[in-house]
Amino acid sequence: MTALWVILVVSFFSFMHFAVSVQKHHRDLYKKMTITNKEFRVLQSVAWVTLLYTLVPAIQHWGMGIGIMAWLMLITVSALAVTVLVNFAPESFAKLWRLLGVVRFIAPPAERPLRTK
Amino acid sequence: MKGPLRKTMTWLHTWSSILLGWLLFAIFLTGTLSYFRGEISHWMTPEQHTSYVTDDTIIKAYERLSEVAPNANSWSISLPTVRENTVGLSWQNEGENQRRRGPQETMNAATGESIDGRETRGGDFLYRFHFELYGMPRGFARAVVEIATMAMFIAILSGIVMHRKIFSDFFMMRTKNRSLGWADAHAVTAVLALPFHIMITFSGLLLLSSSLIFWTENTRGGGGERNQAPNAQQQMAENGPRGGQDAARAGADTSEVRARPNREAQGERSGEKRARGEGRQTARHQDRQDIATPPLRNMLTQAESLFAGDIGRVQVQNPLTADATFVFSPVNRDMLMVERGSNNSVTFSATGLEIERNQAKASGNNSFFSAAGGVLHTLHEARFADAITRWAFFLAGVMGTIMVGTGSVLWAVKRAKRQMGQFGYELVVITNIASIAGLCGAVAVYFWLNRLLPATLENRINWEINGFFVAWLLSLIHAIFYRNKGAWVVQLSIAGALFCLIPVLDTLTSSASLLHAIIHVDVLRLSFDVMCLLLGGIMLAAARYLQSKARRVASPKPATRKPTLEGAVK
Repeated sequence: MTALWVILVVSFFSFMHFAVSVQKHHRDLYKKMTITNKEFRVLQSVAWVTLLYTLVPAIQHWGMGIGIMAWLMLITVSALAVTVLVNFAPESFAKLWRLLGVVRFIAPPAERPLRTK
Repeated sequence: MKGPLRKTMTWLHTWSSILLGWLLFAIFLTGTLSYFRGEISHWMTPEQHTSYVTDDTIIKAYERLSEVAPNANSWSISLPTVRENTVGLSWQNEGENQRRRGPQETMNAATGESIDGRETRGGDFLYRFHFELYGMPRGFARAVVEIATMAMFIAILSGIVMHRKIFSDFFMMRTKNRSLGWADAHAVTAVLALPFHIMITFSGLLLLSSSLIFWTENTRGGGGERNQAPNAQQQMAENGPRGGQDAARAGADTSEVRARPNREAQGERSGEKRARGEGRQTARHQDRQDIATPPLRNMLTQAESLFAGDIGRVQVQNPLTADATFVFSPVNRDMLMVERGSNNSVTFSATGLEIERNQAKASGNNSFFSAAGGVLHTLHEARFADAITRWAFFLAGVMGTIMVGTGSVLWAVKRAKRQMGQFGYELVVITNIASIAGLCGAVAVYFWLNRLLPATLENRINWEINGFFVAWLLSLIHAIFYRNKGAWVVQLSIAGALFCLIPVLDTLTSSASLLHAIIHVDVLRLSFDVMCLLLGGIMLAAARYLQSKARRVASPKPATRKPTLEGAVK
């Protein structure tokens, strides 16, 4: 059971990084118009590494075949959560990002995120 | 090359899905609900709600069986598990047909009384509707569902080709731009849950594939065997060896091979019994009275620690005699392919000594195709799922349902300006309302009727189901007359309100209040209520969105309106 929570939480963390690596959401968080190549690469690699890491407990829990399928369903849920958050509650997403995002050590986000109209 | 291909794909996507979109919505909705089939059935039998597991449950079951079936040959107790909170008792008397299922009853796990539940088809109705519809010849209905599934598969593939930047668009829900709302909801639910859509459609396609093979003789009845086999397989999982016997009968030639070891075992057992003869029977009657209750609780804890999990089933041979044996088998959900009739089990004697241990054998003699079939079933129905994974599958299913629904709506929205008033367009609008909002309402009505109809009403099952269809028909009639006057909002609001009020209805009309369910952690019932709140919330949100949109269209505020080209032309 704990393995499943780990998958949900870590993949949520991972999808946050995927989301920020998208130009539009990046602009919401940082007051810059474009995302630099370095930022993009760091964000993407953090996202991929953490996402693939969550595959490990899933396969340990269920075995190869079922594990991959169940993992896909679980990460779907956290992807949905990130999508909803990013679009309907950008402020709380920004707050979470300031708390959790690893990239803040490299490029701290702007204090007040822009709201795109 | 790219342009024309995408155009072709768009055309294919549009027309392959609109024709069967309404049916697909019904299939998706009822199928998604079927992930909670056990929960629904439990909720719809409120008589069971006072039941909860105690340490004495197994003793109560033993006492109850000694009362009702003292002369039986064997007893079988299915203990409460995560997916069931009552005790199922069944027994077999001497000389009864071994292949038939004996008499059975449901027992309250807390009080040890027999439960006389109301007649209802519970979640099975929705589950059956999901792939056999209702009131149609089974083969025909399955073929229709299979064709719809194929259309779905085509729609998914063409959708992927159509949608150019499928992965970079992952988080592009452009809700700020209001007019794109439907398209976004469609794309987001489609892209996010794409693995689920592909898995569920592909496995569904293969599971029903025999329904379209009408040229062989043994599929007369449209893959009836296929239909029975999963059923029997499930019974097998629930009932152990005896269910396996049914499986052997129902599954006919396909499962015959796999069922053989079990049948041999059963044959041995009954042969043994016959050999021992009638003399023992009379002896048993004599010493029946002075048999002490065996140390069932010890056996249970021992078996539980042995299998590191819950025990699902206890089989008692020669009960109430000195040579009684007690076979404990665990809830068997984590193995994909187990040879039929082979179960993990441990056998105790009447004095509580361990006699024998059985390991489930991973099946070796399955053909590739039956093995693949087993995996597909397991995946399609999420058999392996625990609470979290079940919810994950359910949410993915909800997203699929939303995708199908918004897809049908999109068809109409895109054509609204050009084709308003044309027969075909109006027909689509009406059918959209009735098949999407109407079906949601009909499901809610089905749940409500279950609680509102008197428990002892004659033909109760039929009334519940008829109520479902009457509600659906009413929504269709309503949609015909009010299609452009807010039928969407009205129907979705009603359905959403009915769903959201289900917890209230639950606590008022059940034999135990919701507080009782929370105290005794009745997960089944609480999941159902949470599920209804969630679905109701989605429907109300959709209704609110539609209403605000309608209001904007009716009286656009000048401040929020940007000067556009069209505006200037007007």
